[in-house]
Amino acid sequence: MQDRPTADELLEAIEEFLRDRSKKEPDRLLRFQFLVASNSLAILRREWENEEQALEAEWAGLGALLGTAGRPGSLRALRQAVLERNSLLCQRIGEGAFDGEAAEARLLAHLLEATENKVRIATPAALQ
Amino acid sequence: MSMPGEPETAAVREAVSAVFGVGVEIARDPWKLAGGTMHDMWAVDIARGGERIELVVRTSPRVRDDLTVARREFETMSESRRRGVIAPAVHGVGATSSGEPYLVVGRVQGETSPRPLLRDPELAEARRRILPQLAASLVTIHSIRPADLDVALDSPAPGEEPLLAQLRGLTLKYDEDRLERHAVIEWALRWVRRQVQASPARASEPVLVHGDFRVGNIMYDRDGLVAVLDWEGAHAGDPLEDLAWFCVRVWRFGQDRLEAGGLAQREDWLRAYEEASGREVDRPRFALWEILCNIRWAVITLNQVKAHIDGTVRSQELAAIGRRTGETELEILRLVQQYKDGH
Repeated sequence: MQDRPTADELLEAIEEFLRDRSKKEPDRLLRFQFLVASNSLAILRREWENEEQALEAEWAGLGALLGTAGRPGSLRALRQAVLERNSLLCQRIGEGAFDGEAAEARLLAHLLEATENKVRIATPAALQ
Repeated sequence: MSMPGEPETAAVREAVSAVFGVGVEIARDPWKLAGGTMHDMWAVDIARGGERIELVVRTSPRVRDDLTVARREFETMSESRRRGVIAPAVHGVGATSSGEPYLVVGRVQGETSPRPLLRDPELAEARRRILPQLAASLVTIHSIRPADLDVALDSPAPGEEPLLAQLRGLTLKYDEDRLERHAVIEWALRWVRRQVQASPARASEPVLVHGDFRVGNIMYDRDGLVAVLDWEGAHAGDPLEDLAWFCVRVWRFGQDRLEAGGLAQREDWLRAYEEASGREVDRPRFALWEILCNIRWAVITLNQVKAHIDGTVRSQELAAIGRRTGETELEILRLVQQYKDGH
């Protein structure tokens, strides 16, 4: 067990530092670079908080479209498995498996949910 | 500190001599302007017959030998300006003795930064005036046929619908640039193609398309449009492409409710174009183009993150852009839903 600060608190500290620099920096291009860096840290904080939940939902959605499979135990294995099932989903899309109206509706519902979960972590402002 | 005559400005001096004659008098030595990633932009003033001419010389040390693109820009800009498009005067194009392409244009005073244009209270008048100016510019650009130009343009295959030509190119780029597979992009490419195949457009001859017409690539001042810039992507195609690229979400710079570049509603933009051209815009076709243009932006984000990951350009900024693919995919899904609701 690590001592305080927690990983989240440590990231938050760096994020605040970079955001502050982005406001005070006189050079326009550097100001932008600091802002991008602080935004990236904010993404990481949201990802560590919500990734597992989002992957669970995506795994379930992929199972409903492609047939269920055993959920891998670790987070790392789940991440890899979702990546592989997404490839399989793309392959099925290319074969025309979702061209019919009903299949297309089911696919779109899944894609919308998975994309919204992705955006909730990466750029939540885009959800409004 | 760079001194006049040093190698950095040698290309600029050589370009100016080639265009205006060896004896041309430099009235103010070249100085560097903020430029893009591929080009260097230099300002320089010359004097000729008692007249002072303010110039921008673009040199491209990193894209040596790519004179074809520079010549195409020169030709498309010249012809567009000749017909009344508000664009910089184009003075010359060529390559230096070391093979560096250059483009010499007139220097115009104005701003390109998107956010002030979309937000500043003192630019309200510019915002009001610029939309019809932009629409009129596009109508004039679109009046140019490939045969009117002295250079070859990238064109759809004979008889191929421009939208499908663009889709074909995007599919290739996607396959080249993706690090992982994106179900939204693959499905959307397939879906757009199926829509087009189900209802082919009326045949029409391809015209000159600017190819990167958007807020950020236009220069403005308090009175409105000062110049249409960035002609590198000019090609032959469908006018709807320029109208739709202008509306892609990323080019609204946060003013998302104003779909036309953060400046106006989408429908006002299309009406402005209709008024300027006297032709009706095919709304369903435009909607497919807007979806395709968002796919294009999504694929560009894949290309940028790949450039970072494979080491072409290590950059935390390019890395971060990879996490913006999702919001564009969300926009694609929303636009598809709107299209379906309208049918």
